[in-house]
Amino acid sequence: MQTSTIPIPIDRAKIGDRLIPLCSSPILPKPARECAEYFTQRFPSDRAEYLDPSQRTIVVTNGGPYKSYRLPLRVRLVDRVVWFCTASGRTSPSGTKSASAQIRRLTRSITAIGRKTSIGYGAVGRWDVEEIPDDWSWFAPDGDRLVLMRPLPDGDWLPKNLDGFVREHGPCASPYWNSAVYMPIVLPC
Amino acid sequence: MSQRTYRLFCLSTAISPITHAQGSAGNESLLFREPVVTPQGVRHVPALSGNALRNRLIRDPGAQWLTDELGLFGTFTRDKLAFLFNGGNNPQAGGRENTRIISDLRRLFPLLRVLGGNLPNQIVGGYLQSRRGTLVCRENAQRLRELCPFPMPETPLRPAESFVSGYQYTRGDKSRQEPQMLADGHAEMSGSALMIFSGQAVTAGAIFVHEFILRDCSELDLGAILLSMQYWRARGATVGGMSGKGHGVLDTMIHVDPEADTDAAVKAYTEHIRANRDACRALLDEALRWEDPEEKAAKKGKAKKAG
Repeated sequence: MQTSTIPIPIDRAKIGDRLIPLCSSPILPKPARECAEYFTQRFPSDRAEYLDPSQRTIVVTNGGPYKSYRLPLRVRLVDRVVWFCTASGRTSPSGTKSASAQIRRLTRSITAIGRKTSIGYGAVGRWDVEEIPDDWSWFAPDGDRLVLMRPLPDGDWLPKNLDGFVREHGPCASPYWNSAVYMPIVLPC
Repeated sequence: MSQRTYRLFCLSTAISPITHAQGSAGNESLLFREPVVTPQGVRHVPALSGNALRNRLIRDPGAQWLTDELGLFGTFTRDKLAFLFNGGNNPQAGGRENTRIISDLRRLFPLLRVLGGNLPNQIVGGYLQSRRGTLVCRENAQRLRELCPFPMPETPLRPAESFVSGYQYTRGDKSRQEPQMLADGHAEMSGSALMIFSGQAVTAGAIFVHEFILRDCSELDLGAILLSMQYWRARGATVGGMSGKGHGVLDTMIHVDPEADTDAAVKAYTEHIRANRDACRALLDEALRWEDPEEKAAKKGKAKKAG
């Protein structure tokens, strides 16, 4: 299966038969606060009179199709999330645009990230795109060691001085949900 | 039909105390708060949850309007009621998604296209992001600059705690007040139902900033949201608990970005639903035909026997 085919101006490199984006995992500062919040749902029995008389029976709300729930969300309070990526400008109908400009244009429409954005979590105030001279999309220097920055295929090709990773079996490129792309990988930790 | 992203920026002033609660400490109910990073450290500031705003301002009044318009009162199945008013449940998830039903549902019901929901056997994604209600206070000054489409006034803001007040009510015990109304022998029965209950409230006059973001939506979708908010306003415009005692009334101003003809959008939506009344009813019947697992198993058993 082909991986990483989403048409965005992030560069990709091939490891074996997999195309891997040159983009780090999201990097979060130490959260100012980390907690669980909850979201809930219950059957609208306060509108019982709306039901057809034949449907006005006892509704089980602690199990089955109308089970009420109060589910936790892991919430981390951070002021920014950072990614490092490598991107090349592409020729658009209106001329060649820099990669920064293209990423700025694409991110402008992203108003929230993460889970439960429909109820206000992960709201993004603004996106800043800055150019830096180094490529820290896969590995970042830490003294004489290299720190892993994103999930990558496990293998002999990895730098010998790599640090900050665990070995897993999973996806390292989109479609992340598809188990057909799962393989031995190294994950940042 | 052209699609674009609309942002509905809302400025809501509390007309009465807001009691949007999160939990309790002893007998006192506590306000819903969110942690906010300030130069003085993390502070817990009263807020309105996105879930509450989404349900109270959009889903509930929007579903009520559809109920009235389609004449569904007294005809609901349990699944239809849960789907329209609470987003439904998904008890039969089985790896089969009927794309015709999803596309028909989105075409006929702009409100459900925007909100999404769970049909018994498939999830229909929504396009609406409901931001939290952010209290206009000193702790939120930085965030408000990011949130507000207008420049914030230069006047210093008051601290969040200055907007927190309390309430206390008493529930009387009729059997103690008028024991002569009781049947013989019941006056001596012990136990009093007298109760004092209290809690925290956000003071009337406080202002909340919140926003609804409609991604890739049409004029009909915008009309559905605006009509729902009009209906919410007409039915009391409350959030949080104890609206029966006059709490939680908001006066909300809405700014739509990009500018749109809001009256035309609402008119287009109402005309769309009225023109497709029968099709809407038929589709709800079809989409929410829930098959009881026991009945299904029984049918299978019969088919096997017949085979």
